[in-house]
Formats: sequence, C-alpha cells, structure tokens
Amino acid sequence: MNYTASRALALGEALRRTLGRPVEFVLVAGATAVLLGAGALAALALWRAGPLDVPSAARPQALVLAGGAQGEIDLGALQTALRRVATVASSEFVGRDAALSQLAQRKNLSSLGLAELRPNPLPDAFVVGFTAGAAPEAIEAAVAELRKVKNVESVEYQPELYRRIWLLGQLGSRLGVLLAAALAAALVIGVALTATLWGRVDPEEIRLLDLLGAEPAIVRRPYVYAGAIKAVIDEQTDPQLIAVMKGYDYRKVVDNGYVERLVKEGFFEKLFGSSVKAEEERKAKLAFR
Amino acid sequence: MHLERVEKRYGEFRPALVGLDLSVARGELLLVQGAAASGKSVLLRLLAGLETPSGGVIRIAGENLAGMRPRARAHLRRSMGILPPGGCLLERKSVLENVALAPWVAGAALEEGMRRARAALDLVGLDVARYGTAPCAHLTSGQRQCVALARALVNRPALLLLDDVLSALDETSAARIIGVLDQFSAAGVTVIAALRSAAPSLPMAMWPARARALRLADGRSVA
Repeated sequence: MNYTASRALALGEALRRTLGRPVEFVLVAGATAVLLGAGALAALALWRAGPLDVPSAARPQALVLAGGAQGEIDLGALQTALRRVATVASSEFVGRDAALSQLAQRKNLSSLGLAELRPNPLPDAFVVGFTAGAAPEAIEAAVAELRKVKNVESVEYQPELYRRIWLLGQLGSRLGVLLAAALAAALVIGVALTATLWGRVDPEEIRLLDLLGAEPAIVRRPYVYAGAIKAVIDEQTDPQLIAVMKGYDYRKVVDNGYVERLVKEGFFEKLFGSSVKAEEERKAKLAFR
Repeated sequence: MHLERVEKRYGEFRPALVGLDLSVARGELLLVQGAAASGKSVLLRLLAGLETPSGGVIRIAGENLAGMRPRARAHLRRSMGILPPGGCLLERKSVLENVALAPWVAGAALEEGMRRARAALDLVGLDVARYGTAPCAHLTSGQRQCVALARALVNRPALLLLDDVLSALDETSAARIIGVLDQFSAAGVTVIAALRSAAPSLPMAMWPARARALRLADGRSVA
C-alpha cells in the first residue's frame, strides 16, 4: 500500500466513521442547514428590499389604438378605463404628433414616405403594460376585455411570443429551484462532513506526520506519464476533438528531458538516498517520450 | 553536514543559537550537551529542516537546507530518524502502529512496515509479543522512549537526530541504546544526540570513545 492509496483508504475510513455516527451527523447537518437557511433568508430579504428590475421581455405589452378623430374622444377617460382592466399595470399615452416626430427622427425613413404619412394621420395610441409574470391566459382575457372598452379601435398583442417567453420563464424558474435545492443539499452534506471530520483531526498526528516527512507523493514523480496523456484523450467523446488531440504533438509542451538529466546526474539519489533508484527506473519506463 | 555562522532568534527574546560553526562527517557520533535552554533542541530542529535559521547556512550533502522547498525538506526528513523531546507518540495507537507509521509515510507496504517495526522494537529491547498491541498511553516513560527511538531507527535513516535520547531510561536500557547507536554510527549513519548535562546519572564513559562532544551554553558553542 503506497502513501496515496493509504490516504484514499484513510478518507474512506473517515467517511465510514462519519456515517457510522448518525446522531452526530444529523446534528451537524441540521445546524449547518439552519445557518444556511438563515443566510438565504437574509439574502432574500435584501433582494426584496431593493426595487425589482424586471426584464422587458418578461413585461408583456399591448398597443391599444384609439378610434375617432382628434378631439372627439376623452383620452383621459379612456386611459382610466384601460387601467381598470384586470392585470393591466400601466398605460402610457402615445399621441399621434409624438409618434410622427419619432418617425421623423428615423434616418432610414425617406422624406417621401413621411410626406405620404402626413395626410393620413396616425391614430392616438396607448402602450398598455400588464403585470410581470402574469399567466398568458389572464393577459389574453384582459386583451379581449380591452377590445370591448369604448373608443378602442383595435388592440395589437402577440400572444404566441409571450406564451413562449412565459413558458421559458416557468421552466427556468423550476430548474433554478431544483438546482438551488441540489446545491443547498450538497453544501449541507459537504459542510457537515467537513465539520465532522475536522473535529476528528488530531493535531498531534499532523505534527508527527510532518516530522516524519509526510506530504503528497507527487514530488517523487516528476515525470509526466504517457498514460496520463492517453487517459485525457480516452476520456473525450467528441470524435473531432479526439482527432485533434491525437494529432497534436505533445512534445511541444511536455519535456521530460530535464528530469532525465537530473536523474542522470544523481540529483534525486543525492536528495533522497540510493533507495530511490528502483523508483526512478520504474517511473522512467512510464514517462512520456 | 556543515553549519556556518548559524543563528536562530525568536522575536525579541535572546537568541537561541549564536554564530554556530560545525562540521559533522558521515558516520560520526556527535553528542550535543548543555543545560536546559542552551539551544540543543533548536539545533536539532534546524538540522531536521523543521525551522529555518535566522542567519548563516546549513548544508546537508552539499544542499543548502534553507534553499530547499518545503516538499523537498519533507522528503529529506524521510531519510532522517528524528526523536523529538517527549517522543511525540500517538497515545491511542498501539506500539506497533506508532513505529510502523514511519515506514508507511515513507511509502513502504503495510506488512513491510510492520515487519520493520518488530525488528526495530527488538533492537531497542522492547518485547513486541508483550507490548506490540498495547496503546502507548499504557506504557511507562522509559518504554515510551524506546518506542519513539524504534520509530526513529525503523527507516534505516542516513542521519539520526535524537533529542534527549537517554531521558527516562535506566542504566541497562541506556547502555543498550548507546550500543545500538554505536552500531548505526559504525555502519555509516550520522548520529547527533542531544544530552542534558544536568543528568549526570549516566556517565559519558558509557559512550564509545570515538564519540565527539559539542557543548552548548546560551546558544553558543563552548570549549
């Protein structure tokens, strides 16, 4: 059993012992969950305290065109009537003059086209905003109700677009909740395990291991192994990527020559003693060339 | 091993070691003597690479110890046998487990480590059949010292750094340990053993004549 294998066994043993004490484990996990929950609630409260910035795509809107000539309808009364409809959150008046001046500012609209529009004036309109996140059915019902309001000539609304956005939002929201739950569970288990294991670390043992020269075994394996590179390629599933990786000349980035020179000069034998000779020979056979 | 003008200071306190020059050849048996707080343990800790000197240079096999990376120093310690003051044993672990820990850290197989541990315990005169599975907490201070010494010897080190090596040992056990250290030294292992000069119950005559003495007082080498 080498040091690395022993460490893996030691970790397995620690996990086995941890799970072998369910009461202690549950207590630590519970305490961790309470702490995390409190943190999450505090974060939520802070988030709710600030103004909600709903993305425009999640705010469904409709364009309500008023009927009749200018001056014939009471635009104020119409706006009030529009706001009374359920799920309508806002209504913004867009007068024909304002619309025309906006059109005039568009550079790609030719002066001829604008001249044609003038004798055929635009209608007064309202941009009606619905409650963010409202169900598509509720908004479509509200649109139907808007169409019935007096002096409303037509209502422009794209139900399919909002249905898709809403569906995506719902999916994202549910996936987010699931992901958050999984992350929280992993965090709780991870912190609980760490806390439990931490409580069992014997400082005297750590001091002794340091005294005996224990440390990761990587230092005595300075060669880059051919097997390591092959394993990375074998893990790929994309045939195109595999072809690229197999075609790459790894000698450009992997050079065991320096290590070989140190071995030849007896650097490691001088440092660690003659007992490393067999280890060097074994590892040299596995090195990338 | 060469030490040139080695100093060690801890904060504002008086220096633990001052301007120490020392050369120790392979296979030499060096006895570092001095009263408490004379710098013996500090010297051994510096040689083990557990601390770095505040000044001066320590070279082991031509390598400057201070210039080595911590991982390389850890590897170097694997070729040393270190007996820290008090033994530094794992109280709840058995005698065999304590001794076998050193070969295990050095990468030996578990069975090989146990085999070596039994041999090392035999060498220091502890009855493996009787005490091998006993927790170290149940041992007398003399037996604990033997276990710690066995752990220092078990990896067949090139350098032995032994702090207060004969503490808690009776004359018979001490004579046995001195004999073992003499054997190791004769086989080419460099042995540096710290002894308290305030413990005159074990006379210097017990040590082989070729042993060299280094006397420290207030962190300085004295004649």
